[in-house]
Amino acid sequence: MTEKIAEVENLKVNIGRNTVLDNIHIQFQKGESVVIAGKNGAGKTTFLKCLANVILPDQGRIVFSDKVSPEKMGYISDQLSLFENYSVKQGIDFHSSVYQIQDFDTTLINELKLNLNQKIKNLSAGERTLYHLGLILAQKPEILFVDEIIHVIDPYLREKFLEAVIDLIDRYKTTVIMVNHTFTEIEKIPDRVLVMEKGQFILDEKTESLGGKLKKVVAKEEIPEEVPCIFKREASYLKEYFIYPFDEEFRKKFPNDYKDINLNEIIKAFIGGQYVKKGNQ
Amino acid sequence: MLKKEISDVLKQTVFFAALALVIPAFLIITTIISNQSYFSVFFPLFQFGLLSWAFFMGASLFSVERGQRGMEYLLSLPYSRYQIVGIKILPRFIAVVLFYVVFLILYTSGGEDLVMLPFFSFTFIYFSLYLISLSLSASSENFLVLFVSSLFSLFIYLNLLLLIVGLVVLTKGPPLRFIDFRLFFSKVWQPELNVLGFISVFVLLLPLLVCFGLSIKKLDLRPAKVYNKRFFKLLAPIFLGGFILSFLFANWSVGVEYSYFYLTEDHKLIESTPYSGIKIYEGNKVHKVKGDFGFWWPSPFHEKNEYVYDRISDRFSNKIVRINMSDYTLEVLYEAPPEKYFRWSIWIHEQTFAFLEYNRDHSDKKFVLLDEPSRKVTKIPLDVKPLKNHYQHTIFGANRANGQRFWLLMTWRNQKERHIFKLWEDGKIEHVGISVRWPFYINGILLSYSEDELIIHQEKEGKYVPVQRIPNPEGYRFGLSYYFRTTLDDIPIKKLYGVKRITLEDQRMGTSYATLTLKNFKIEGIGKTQGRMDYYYPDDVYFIESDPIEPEIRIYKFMNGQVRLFKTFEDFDYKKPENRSFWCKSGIVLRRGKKVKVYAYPDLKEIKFKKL
Repeated sequence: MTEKIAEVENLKVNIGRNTVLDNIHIQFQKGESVVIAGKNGAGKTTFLKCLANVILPDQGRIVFSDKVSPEKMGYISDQLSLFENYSVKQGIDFHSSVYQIQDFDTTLINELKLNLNQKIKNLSAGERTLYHLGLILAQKPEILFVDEIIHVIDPYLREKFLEAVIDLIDRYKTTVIMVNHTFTEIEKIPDRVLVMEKGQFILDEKTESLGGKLKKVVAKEEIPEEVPCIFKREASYLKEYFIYPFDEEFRKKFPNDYKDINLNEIIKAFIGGQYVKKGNQ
Repeated sequence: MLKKEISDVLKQTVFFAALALVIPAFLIITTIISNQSYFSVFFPLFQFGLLSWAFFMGASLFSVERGQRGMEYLLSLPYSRYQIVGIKILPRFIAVVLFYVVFLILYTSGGEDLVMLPFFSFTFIYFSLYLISLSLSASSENFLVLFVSSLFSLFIYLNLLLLIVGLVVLTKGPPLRFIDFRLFFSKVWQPELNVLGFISVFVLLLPLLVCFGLSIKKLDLRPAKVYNKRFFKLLAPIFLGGFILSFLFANWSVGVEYSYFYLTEDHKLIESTPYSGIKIYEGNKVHKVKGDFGFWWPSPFHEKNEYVYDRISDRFSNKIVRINMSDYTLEVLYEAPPEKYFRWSIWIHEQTFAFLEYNRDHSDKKFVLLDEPSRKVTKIPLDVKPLKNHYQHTIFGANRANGQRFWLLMTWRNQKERHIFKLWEDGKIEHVGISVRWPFYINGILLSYSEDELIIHQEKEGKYVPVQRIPNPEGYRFGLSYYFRTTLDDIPIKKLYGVKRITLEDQRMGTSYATLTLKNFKIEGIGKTQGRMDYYYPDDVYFIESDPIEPEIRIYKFMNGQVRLFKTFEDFDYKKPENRSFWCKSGIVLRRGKKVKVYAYPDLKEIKFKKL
């Protein structure tokens, strides 16, 4: 049985004259891991900042479950924002006092083998990301927001980061909402995939069902108009068609070689489709 | 988090204090500034630094986080926006107050003469700048922009205060004439600032603070223009409300700036108002006196032919002027040099005006003789002791002896020890003696006092010799009223009137009066009133009783050897600020709010001025 941890109602955010988030309604469940994708400027980061209380909506509201107190929320921004004039030790002390952490679990931070007197501003991007995650892990968070940072971390630390996140989900049933472009290395994480476009969610699917709903057809000829194609890519004389939503009936009515594709390609298809749509407008 | 903020502010405080201490030392060591004490270099710079400090403490609310890329982290902490701002403001506000206390200590420990701005102006601008920069702290991420916008807002704020002063004057009193930015930088407390009242001053700052309070609730990571849009959308109506409220408080707190009056011997009425100048009422006509002369509280010391003589003293100058009552012009007879002052005590003898001129600390005191026809000015330095150490002085007589004129001057530090000096025209100064009460001089006779005697002196070979000692156990002091202290040349006086009133307590108990007949120096008690004797007249003498309990004024007259009740002005509560009575040489002017009534001696009948 699923347990609702957060509900977003009628969320709207403007920056200047641009509507960045437009009337969003969505719910998140306890323990689910969600990845939000979308092309640049789609509103992913703004949405995550709204969830993290860093940007306050112009309209609508975000309601968290009673179990999610502000002390049980963690946010790692794409800017890796921390008080960087603090030393590693001062950062831990400050975070402990603000989040009222009695026994600070320094396991992850210790693995980084950081000098405690080192200033945070002197840490590498990867170290800083894992250090920040270490601070948040000590909160034993109910919900964690992570904004597009995986690509700035080297492969070794990236693996450590992902292991820690997976461990968090397993141990505390933490809800993780990540913004990411590529799914190559995080394919195992998401239970649910959201794709944003122009401040709205255009895809909201469970990962397990997404494979069955999106297929690829590689053909020389045009596919029938009745087959919903979200993105078409032409490579030499062959054409790639990404079909969504796919219906098993299509195999009989419009016989073709409907191929399964991985999550990364699925997301690429959605994002590519948006670029094509924009070009046609 | 409070610990972090305290630590941030402490670091800034140490840096500021170090800078404030080191810069003066540097200027002295490198001889960029020489021949000055450390404190005299430090204190002016410190005040300048304090204004920067006030700005910095207000504007730097988020500067540390912005500088450390920590803004996102800060906003994601489990605090509401109000909690964040509250925690940030608290140590900064304490720092602002603490440095103000340091300023106060230094100011009272010798810094008074080294002020960059007058005390009140400094205090006012220091806290205003802090509150303004605090209100604008979230409106830009650029410190230079914040600095410029804070200064600009302070300028607008000060001018809005002036506008409110002007509006209050327009509403409650005479029209606005001169009020400008300078009053905030004057060395003395300005009545215009009193007028506003502290509430009014603070209320005008409220719109910015309220808008800050309401906007900061929604402070987020979006660009400052998003915050500013909300801020200014709120500011327009709130500012209007704040301005109206500030005006109402100012209007409510201010005493009405009513007119001041003087009735001349030929029954013309002079009206002076703080901002609209001088008018002269004459029967059915009214004339405006030409010229720009600042505020004048009419209290003429002399009238002769078509001229009325007075002193104009405002914050810019001290002048002796005369108004020509036939062509309504004002002429300056003498203007004191800058930073020099003189008192009301101006004695006129043989067309010469005599008075004392001095600087603020009385270290440079001069006896000035102004010959009216030629405008020739003679200044005699008064640097003999104890005269030079006395801050109180009055010229009370003049005469001619051995072909030379002299003036009698009374000076004192202790009321019971009034020193009498004779100032000769050629600069010679003689110490005549000491009197425990105010002495008097007429027709070559000098009256002085011991505790229980009136001592009559007569001039013999240039000296004053006591010729008679008259018991005066009641302690009467004989003389003439203020209006006759300026010349006795043309007044035939047979009797002097005496009053036994020294303290306020005596006044409440009642005042006793007596006459001194100059022919035989006989003292006779003539009566008693509850109030005070405000006026002596050479032929008819009037005693004015302002009753502290009943709201009325009673005029007594010396008739048939006794002081008798002559006229009562009912329903005149002199304690109300809008009520005021003006006792003139020729009559009485009573102002009740905007209603003015004029009564002339000897019978105190009302004189009507149609346009009054």
